[in-house]
Amino acid sequence: MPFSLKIPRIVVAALKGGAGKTFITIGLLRAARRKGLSVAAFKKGPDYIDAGWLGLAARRPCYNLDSYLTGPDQAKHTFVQQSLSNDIAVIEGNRGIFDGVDAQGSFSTAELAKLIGAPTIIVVDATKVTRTVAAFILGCKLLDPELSINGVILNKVAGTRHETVVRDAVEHYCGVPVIGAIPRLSLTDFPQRHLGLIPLYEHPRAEEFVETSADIVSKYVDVEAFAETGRSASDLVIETPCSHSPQPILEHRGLRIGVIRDSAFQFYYPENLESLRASGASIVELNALEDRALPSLDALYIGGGFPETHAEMLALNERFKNSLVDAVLYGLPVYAECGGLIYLSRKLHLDNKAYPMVGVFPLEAILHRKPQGHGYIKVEIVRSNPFYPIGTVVTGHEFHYSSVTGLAQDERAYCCFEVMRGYGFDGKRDGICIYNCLGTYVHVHALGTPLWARGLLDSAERFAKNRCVP
Amino acid sequence: MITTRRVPRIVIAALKGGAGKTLITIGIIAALCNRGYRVAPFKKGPDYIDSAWLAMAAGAPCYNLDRFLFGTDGVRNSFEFNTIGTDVAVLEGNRGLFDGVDALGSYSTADLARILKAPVVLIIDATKMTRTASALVVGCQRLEQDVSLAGVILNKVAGQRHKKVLTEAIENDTGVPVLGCIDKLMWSQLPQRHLGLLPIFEHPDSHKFIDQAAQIVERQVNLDVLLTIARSAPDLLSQPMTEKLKRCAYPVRNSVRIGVVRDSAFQFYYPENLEALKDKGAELIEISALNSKGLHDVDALYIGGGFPETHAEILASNVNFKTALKEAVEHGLPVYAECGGLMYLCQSIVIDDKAFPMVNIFPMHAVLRRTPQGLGYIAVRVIRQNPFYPIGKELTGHEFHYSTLSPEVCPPFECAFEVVRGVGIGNHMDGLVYRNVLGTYVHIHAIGEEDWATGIISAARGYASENSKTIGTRPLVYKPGDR
Repeated sequence: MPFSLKIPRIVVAALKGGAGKTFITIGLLRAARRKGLSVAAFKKGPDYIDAGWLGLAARRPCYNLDSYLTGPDQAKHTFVQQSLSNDIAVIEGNRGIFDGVDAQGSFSTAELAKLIGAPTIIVVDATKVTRTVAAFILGCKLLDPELSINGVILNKVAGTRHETVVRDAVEHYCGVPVIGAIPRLSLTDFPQRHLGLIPLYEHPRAEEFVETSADIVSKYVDVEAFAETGRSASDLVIETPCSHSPQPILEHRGLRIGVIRDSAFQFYYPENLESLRASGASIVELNALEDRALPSLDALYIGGGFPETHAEMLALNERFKNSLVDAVLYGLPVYAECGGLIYLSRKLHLDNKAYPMVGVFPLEAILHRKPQGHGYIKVEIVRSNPFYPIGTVVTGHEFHYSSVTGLAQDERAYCCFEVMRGYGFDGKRDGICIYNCLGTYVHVHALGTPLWARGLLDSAERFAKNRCVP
Repeated sequence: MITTRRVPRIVIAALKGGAGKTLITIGIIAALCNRGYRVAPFKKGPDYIDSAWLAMAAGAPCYNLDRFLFGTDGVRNSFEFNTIGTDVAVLEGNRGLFDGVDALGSYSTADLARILKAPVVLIIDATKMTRTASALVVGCQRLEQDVSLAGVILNKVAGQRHKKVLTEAIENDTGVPVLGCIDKLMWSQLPQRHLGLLPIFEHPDSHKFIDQAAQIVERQVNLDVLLTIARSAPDLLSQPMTEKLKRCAYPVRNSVRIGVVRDSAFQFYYPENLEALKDKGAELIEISALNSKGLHDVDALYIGGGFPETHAEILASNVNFKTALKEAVEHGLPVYAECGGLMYLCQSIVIDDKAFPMVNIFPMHAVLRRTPQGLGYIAVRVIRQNPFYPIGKELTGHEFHYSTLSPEVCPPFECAFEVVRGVGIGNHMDGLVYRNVLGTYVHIHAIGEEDWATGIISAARGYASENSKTIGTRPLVYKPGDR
């Protein structure tokens, strides 16, 4: 039975990447909090870093919404579940508003906005353009009349005359209010790196940046109009009422899953960890930079991050590396993604310097100046491994500046993924497997790949049982 | 008698500045020339630097078209006259397609395309964007529907897949053909890319740069379709014997000699300005402030803008020329100096706290700043006596200067212009006068201000006749302290 919910919500989109969308969304979230509103933050697409910032700004976890990875129903479900009982839900889009995976713009920010019936505001980088901005906004309205564009925020305006001309033109020709105009600022505190904004956890002044963003946004954007636009959203109709999730069957009660989470490894979707906990397993957080040894575990999950910026510290923590090798040789199931894959390889090459890593996989990782793989990736499982049945197709995303070499050098190791879309190791292969370890460039989202948590937990359970047998 | 004339023509426009429009226009013009077409290049707006590049690419003068400065008829006449004997006219727009001086887009590139009934090809910087480009094209099609958006060129495309998605999306969503996709790597492979679009006068190998731009365009843009679009423009209605044509047919006898300081430091001259002086009876003598040892025998001197700051040391060290100029000024030589010319006539040019001595007609220092101090159209009213313009006259031009004068004024020197719009020297003033010298930040275009050439010619005539009558006493229209 359809059910309708009142959820104030708003999508912050842009015409292209690099318009300042993330910084403005961070500022809007924190500015709304300052006004006493409870905010729920969402990031469209698979990005971890923006989500980290948005979560910090909202002071609660930010959830990724990705119809491509999880299907639209799940994305909508996640949105409803995580936005209920908040004063406003803010969803940051990605790339250009109509940019998707193909020429039709499938899985674009505009599609997401329509899926959840959210009013949309567009951030426009006004550098070197005045009235033509009206053509941009008019085009967005005309290209998809079902999309509701309710406001414009101008970024990088050069003075009040510039602002006035653009504002008047947009309001006159498009009938869309300009709710903010932020001048060109020298935001040296917001350097861009890798995935856009710098990773939160590496930044000692992260909180200060969020506050600064909120100061700027409060000064130049009508935050009340922004919130009011969110409140103007019509009721969201869903098929089944969202009650609390059904009590999960705690079939994996007592399993201990290690997760390396420190300033080098930070890329974990909240749902991935939640899906492990949901079956009764407990999560043990580890620090590869400082811990001396691996505790007793039933499986280990190493996510992505920036091992390259901590290469020396990782290389020097030999006791931890050795204890990890011991555990692997003992049969510990290890699932390593991207940065985790690099950490488990033999060496990480950085600017002509090589840092010894754990050395589980007979690979060496080389860091390049440009991304080697970036976008959605689809792989078929073609050989046996501890986590996925053969024949399964896994869809995730990849974003790596590194490549790996030395694939064929060890007979015990083999690739168990065949790349159907994306790049992986070399455009063909991915998913190196040795002992009970799997290393891959594929980042999976637990809601898009339910098999992931089950595979990891089953593998952990098998390991636990075998270990218990004297 | 009104006749019609077929003038294949195209406007190259962009969504915003910095999309690579000039580079691509240079490439298009040079590639068309390589194919044997005679190309008439035009630049929308008052810019000197882009037009110098377009002129070199075409091997023909580039004329600026500026309705704000020339009026509609001035633009139409210039376009018609300067396309005679050419195969195709390529007009480069400025800024975003619909950007004008106000929220209504007055004097925009779209406005120029409409006046000249020229089809528009839109350059889109495709960085970090895929299907959203369709929305931008739709917006440009619909904002002003009497402007014909006939094609799109995508710049900075990242690989085959990006190109495919963009082209498919734009052609399906908008029906506008994508004429070409220029890979972002193409530009980065240009050996002198770091020089970008330096003023052509300073580029070490501008011909090679133009050749490379032509090759890139020839390889990645479908010029046949571009030419078809240009040829689809409707015939122009014209009155063939314009004033200008008549003047060309019956040139006036030379009567005065006007020196033009033109070297690698002073380069900003609209072709029409020099032509207007010639049309009104001047013989032009080009003089280099860098090399000449003395002033030639001239009846007036015109010093345009340019980059004296990049040649400050050489200008400063050419003491003979500076001295000759100063003496001539004391003797009453009429000198009309714009922007860079004004800086040259100051006591010094100051760059990073270092002062380079200049001619010292005006006792101020021209101090170079890091950001533009005046940029855009400027309108002034003549409020004091000066050698060239009557009091009460209003002048419209443009200004673009990184320098300011320090001090702005210095009694008894006074300013002849009151600034109505724009910046000028500062405090709503411009137009420094000393004896028969006028120094101003205002760049004047002769099509927009017919009195400009007349004023210089008559000052030159006055000086010439006084010169021939009496030797030793020179005519002065103005002395410091006079009101």
